[in-house]
Amino acid sequence: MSIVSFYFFVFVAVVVGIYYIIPRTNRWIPLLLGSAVFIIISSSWKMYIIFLTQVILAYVGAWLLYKNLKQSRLICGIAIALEIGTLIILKDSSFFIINYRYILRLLGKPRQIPFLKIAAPLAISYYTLMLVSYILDVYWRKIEPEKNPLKLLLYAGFFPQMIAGPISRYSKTAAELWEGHCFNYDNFCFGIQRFLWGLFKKLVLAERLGTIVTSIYTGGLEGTSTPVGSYIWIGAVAYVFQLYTDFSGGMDIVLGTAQLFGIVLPENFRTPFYSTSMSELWRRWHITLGLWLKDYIMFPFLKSRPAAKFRAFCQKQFGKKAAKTVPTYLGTFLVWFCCGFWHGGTYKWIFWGLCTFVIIVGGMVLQPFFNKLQVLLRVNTEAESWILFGRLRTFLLFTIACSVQPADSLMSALKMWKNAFVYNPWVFVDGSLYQLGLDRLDFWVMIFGLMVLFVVSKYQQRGSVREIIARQNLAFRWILWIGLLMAVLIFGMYGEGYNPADFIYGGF
Amino acid sequence: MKREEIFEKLNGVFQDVFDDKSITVNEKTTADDIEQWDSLEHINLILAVETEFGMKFTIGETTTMHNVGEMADIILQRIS
Repeated sequence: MSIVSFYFFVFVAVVVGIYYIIPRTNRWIPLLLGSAVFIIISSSWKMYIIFLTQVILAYVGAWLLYKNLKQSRLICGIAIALEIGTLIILKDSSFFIINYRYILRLLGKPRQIPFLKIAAPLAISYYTLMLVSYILDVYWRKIEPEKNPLKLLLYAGFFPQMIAGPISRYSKTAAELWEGHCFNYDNFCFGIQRFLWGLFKKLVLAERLGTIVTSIYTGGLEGTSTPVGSYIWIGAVAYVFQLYTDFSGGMDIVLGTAQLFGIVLPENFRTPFYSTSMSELWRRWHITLGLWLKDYIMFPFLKSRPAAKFRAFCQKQFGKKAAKTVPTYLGTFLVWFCCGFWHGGTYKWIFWGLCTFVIIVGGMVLQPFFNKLQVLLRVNTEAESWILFGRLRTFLLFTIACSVQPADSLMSALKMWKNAFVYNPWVFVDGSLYQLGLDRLDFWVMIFGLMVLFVVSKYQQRGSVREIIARQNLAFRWILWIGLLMAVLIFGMYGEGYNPADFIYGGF
Repeated sequence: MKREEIFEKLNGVFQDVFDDKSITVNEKTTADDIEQWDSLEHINLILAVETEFGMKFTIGETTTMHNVGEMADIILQRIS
């Protein structure tokens, strides 16, 4: 069941209705049952059994490691290996089979090993990370293991987050889900407004941007066989905006839905394109994944014994500064390798992760040089023009790294990079832009929509836009929200004969 | 060791890690108060504090302490 379908709206309305009708102490029941129904309808009951098994594993594993202090490390390791193993087998088995076939061919013993014919449950990449964080938090004594397995089941499977997260933490979200919330009119309105804004981003913007991206990346340009030069840059920029509107729009729908129940889920975006460095951008883009990677990969690695030995080695060989920085670079490498692999078990995604690693570490290594240069050239780093330059530079680097994502494979992505420097700027003025799958009206609806997005982002810098709007006069508020609804109804790409594309992050 | 002594030593560690002699920390100092204190520097800070006081923070403590006061609480608990 797509979260931008009419069925989903009806489904949410029914669950919300039941939620507020029954006594507060039992309000977790419709959420739990609704989540089970949502998962089964969206995938199958077999997938729900796999999901259930992983939750039971986390529940039992956490209790066993909590009770057996002497063997807690071993039990924790087994539980995590089983959770991550399930994720990798169900999602990325073809990566390993392809590589195994390749090795056999190199050894002169080619064999056609068949791919596993298995599907992965909905949102497995997200709820697995949530369950791993739960197990590790119990192991590190940050939280007590949960007595009620249903509470853990609701935490892992709360239906709005079963598309693309956010990757919430047990300590912050479980109680929020379990506790019956009272109906709050303001909260309810804010939830609907956020849901509507998410629909606008997804149906009006992401779908149109996606048309351009598909037409460029699949070589479907009219009159030419392969996109070159400006087309590639247009495709890459359109993809970044598509990714942002698709993912953050999805998050608005998810967080808006949760808010209808009075539930606050963690934010995944904080106006990322206002970042002046790549590392800052990644603190403001897919925030819950970034925090997960930091807390469960980066920190444990840097505090591990091998890292301590490596630090001592660096200090002995290269001095104190290297002992501080080099292990951090290694930890960053590990994080970005895992991040790339998590997004998709292919070399294209690993390459994307490593590109991002190179840009981030490159920035860290060159920072002292840039600082000296700024002093030498008397650059006013507080000037708005300088900040704008930093934002544009960061956006460009992010776009270059992300440009590999929509390509079929790593090879075709590299081929596109090679063709990106062909000189053809006239495509911006000779009407070619209208041949990218959108007619003039659709094209200008998209441009106008992006301008609206920009204005809203500007206000988001100051705080909650919905709260700012709520302080305005009644007539203005209604004109604004009805206008947004009409924009979605009139310009949204949906309806009979048209299926909005699946959320990009739903596939990860 | 008294709490004041811990803070005195912590000042030295912070100044060394962030390469800024003007830093002085108190109970309520957080990452928001020191510009360079991001997640990467946080782990370097933790390691430097561990070396200074000859103790270890657990991973849970590393990721959950909210301010320098909480850091001092753990140090005091561990070394006393």
